[in-house]
Amino acid sequence: MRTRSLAVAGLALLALAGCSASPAPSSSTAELEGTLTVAAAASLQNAFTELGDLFEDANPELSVEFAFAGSSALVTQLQEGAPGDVFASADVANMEKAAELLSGGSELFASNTLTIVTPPGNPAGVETFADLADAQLVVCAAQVPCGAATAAEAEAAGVTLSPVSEEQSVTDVLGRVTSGEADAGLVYVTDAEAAGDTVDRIDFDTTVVNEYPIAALNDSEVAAAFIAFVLSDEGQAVLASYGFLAP
Amino acid sequence: MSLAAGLPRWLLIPAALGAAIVLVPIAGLLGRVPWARLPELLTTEASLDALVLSVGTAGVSTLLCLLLGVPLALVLARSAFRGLALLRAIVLLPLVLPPVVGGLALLAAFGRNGLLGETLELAGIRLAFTSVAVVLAQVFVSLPFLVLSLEGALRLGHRRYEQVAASLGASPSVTLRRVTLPLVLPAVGAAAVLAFARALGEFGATLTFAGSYQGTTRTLPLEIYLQREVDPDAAIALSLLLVVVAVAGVLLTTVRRASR
Amino acid sequence: MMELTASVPSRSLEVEIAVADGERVALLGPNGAGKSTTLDVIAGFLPASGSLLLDEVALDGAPAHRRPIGLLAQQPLLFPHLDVLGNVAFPLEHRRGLGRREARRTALTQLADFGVEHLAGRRPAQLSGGQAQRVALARALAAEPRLLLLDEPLAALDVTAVPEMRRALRAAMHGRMGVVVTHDPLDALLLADRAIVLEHGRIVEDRPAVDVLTAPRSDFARALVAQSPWLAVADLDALRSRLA
Repeated sequence: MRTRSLAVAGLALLALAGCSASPAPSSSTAELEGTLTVAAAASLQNAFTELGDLFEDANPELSVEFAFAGSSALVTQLQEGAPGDVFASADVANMEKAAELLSGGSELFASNTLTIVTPPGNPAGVETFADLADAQLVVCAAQVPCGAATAAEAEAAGVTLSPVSEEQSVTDVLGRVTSGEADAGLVYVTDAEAAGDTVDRIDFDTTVVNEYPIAALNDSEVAAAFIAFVLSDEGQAVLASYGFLAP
Repeated sequence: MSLAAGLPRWLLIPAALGAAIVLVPIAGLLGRVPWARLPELLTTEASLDALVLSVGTAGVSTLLCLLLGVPLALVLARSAFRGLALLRAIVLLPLVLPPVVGGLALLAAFGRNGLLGETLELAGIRLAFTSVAVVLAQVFVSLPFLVLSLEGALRLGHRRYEQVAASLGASPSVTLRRVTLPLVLPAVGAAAVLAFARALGEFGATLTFAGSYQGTTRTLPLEIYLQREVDPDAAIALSLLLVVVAVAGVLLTTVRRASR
Repeated sequence: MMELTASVPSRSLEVEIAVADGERVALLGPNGAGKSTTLDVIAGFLPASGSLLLDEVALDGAPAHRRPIGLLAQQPLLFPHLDVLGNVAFPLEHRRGLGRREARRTALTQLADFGVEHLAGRRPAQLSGGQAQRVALARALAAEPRLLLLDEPLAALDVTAVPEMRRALRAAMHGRMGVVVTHDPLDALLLADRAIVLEHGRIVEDRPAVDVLTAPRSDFARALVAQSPWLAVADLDALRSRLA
C-alpha cells in the first residue's frame, strides 16, 4: 500500500516537473492565446514583423496583428478608438501625446540614427553632410520624427539645407532616392539597411538619436508578455539585426 | 417654393439620406473648428503660402484645362471612328485612377528618368519639385473632369445652328467662334468651376509627383495633411478654409445657371 | 441654272435634278424618301458622289460656306445668343464681308423690307413663330443666295401667319431658283412651278405641279391627291393667280 502511494506521488512530482520546464524561447511560463494587436511606427515594420512571428511560434494559440503607420497617425487612431494592446512609437514626443491611453509607463526599447542615402553610383558625388546643401535633397518634414532629427542634425552641423521636397514619411524619402528623382536623402539607418543595394549609403557623425518607447495600452498578460519579449536579449538581437541601436 | 414637385413622397427618404451622408461629416468638421484660434492659425506664413499657392496653381490649371479640354471635348463629341470609344475611355482614366497612381504615371513621364523627363533634363528643364509639376498634376486630374462635364452639352442639337451658319457664309472657324462656343458658354463656365474645385482639392498626384515644400509645392491639401502630424487644430482650420473656397466656387455655378 | 446628279448609297439616294433660272421646284414624297437628304447634299452638309453645277460653277467639292445657297427650315433657327439685328447682320459680315457697323445698318434696311424693323433689338425667344420665320427669311436672303432651299417652311406656323409667309416666300424666290420640300399640296401649287416626287430615294415624277396634282402618276402623288379632294374640283390656275 505504501509503495503504491509513493509511486503515485513520484509520478505526480515528475508530471509537475515536466509541466514547469517551459520549452518556449519567450519568458512566459504559460502559453498565451487570443489576439494581440500592436500599433507600431512604420520604421519598425520589418523588425516587428519578425518579432511577431517569433512570438507566435512561442505561443501557437496566439496571433499577433500589427497596425503600422506614422507614429502621429497611430496616436490619432488609438484616440479615436482603434483597437490596440501595445503601442511602439518612433519618438518620445508621440508617446507623450498618447499618455492618457497608456495603462502604465513606457520603456525605451531601441534607438535609431540618420544616415545619407543616394541612388546607386552616387550621381551627385555626395561625400559629407555638408555636401547635402548643394545636392537635390529630399528629407522628412520637420513635423514627423525623422524630420525633427534631420533639422537637429543640420543645426548641429551648422549646415543650411535647402531640400526640394519635405516628405511626410521616411518611406517616401527613400522612394525619391531609389527612383533617382533625388540626388540624396536623409533616412534612418534601419531604412538604409532594408533598402540594401538599391541605394548607396554614406554614414556621417550623428549627434541626434531617435529614441523608441514601447508601452502597454491595457493590463492584459499578452501585452506585458510581448513588451517583455521585445526588451529581452532575443528581442534586442532581432532589432539589432535590422540596424537599430540599443536604447 | 416647392419640394419634390411631381414626385412620389417616399423619394424624400433616400434623398435625405444621401444629403445626410455629405452634410453630417461636414457638420462634424465644423463642430471641431477651433474658432478662438482660427485667425491665428489661418494667418501663419505656412497657411498663407499654401492658400496662395493653391489658388494660383488651380487658376492656371483651370485655364489650361479650358484651352486644351474644350477642343478635346468638341473633337470627342463630334467624331466617329473605330477606336474612339477606347480613346475616350483612356482620356477619362484619371477620373477613376487613384490620384497617387496618377502621380506615379506623371513621374514615369516627366520625372528625371521618365519618358520625356530624360530629354527635358538634357535641355536643363527639371519639372519635378516645381510649381509647374503641381499644375501638371492638377491638369491631369481635372482635364477629364472638364471633358466629361462638357460632353453632354456638346452633343446637343447645335449642329443645325452650325449648318445654318455655314449656309450664311461662315467658315468652320467663324462658326466655332460665333455660334458653337457662344451656345455652349454656360456649360463651359460651369465645367470650369468644377475643374477649379477639383484642382484645388488635388492631393495624391501632387504629393507623389511634385513633392511637398512650402511655397513651391505644398498646396492647401498637403499643408493640411502635414499639420495633422503636429497640430490637429491647424489641420481642421485649414480644412474649413478649403471647404469655404470650394463651396463658394460651386455656388458660383448655381448663380450663373439661375441668371440665364 | 442648277444641275444636280447625286448618289448617296448609304441612304439609297440616286437623283438627277435640274432647275432653270427663276424656276421653283416642289419636292414631294413620303417620309424617308430622301427629300431632306437631297437638300443636305445640295447645301453641302452631306457628301455624295456625282456633280453639282450652279450657274455653270462646279460646287460638288466646295464646302458649305462657299455655296451661294440659302436655307429655311421648319424651325427658324435664329441664333439665340444674338438679337434680331445681329442675326440678319451675320451673313452680311461673313458672306458679304461687311464690317460690323455697316452690316448692322444694312441689316436694318433688310428688316424694313420685310416690315419687321421694329423687332431689331429683340431676342429670338421674344418673337412669335411667324415673326421669327420672317426674320429667318430676311437673314437667308441677306446672304444673296442664288438658290433657296426650303424644308417645309410653313409647317410650324400658326394658320394666321401662313398666308403672309407664303407671300413673302414667293417674293423671295423671284429671280432666284428654289427647291421647296413640302407635304402640303397647296404649298406645291402656290410656291412651285414644277413638282418632283421622290420615292425610296428615286425620282418617280418630274412634271409641272398642276399636272402632278390633277393627274398623278406615282403612288405617293395619288395618295396625296386623294387626301385633298378639292384638287379635283378647283380651278387650279385661277387659284394660283389669285393667291400668288
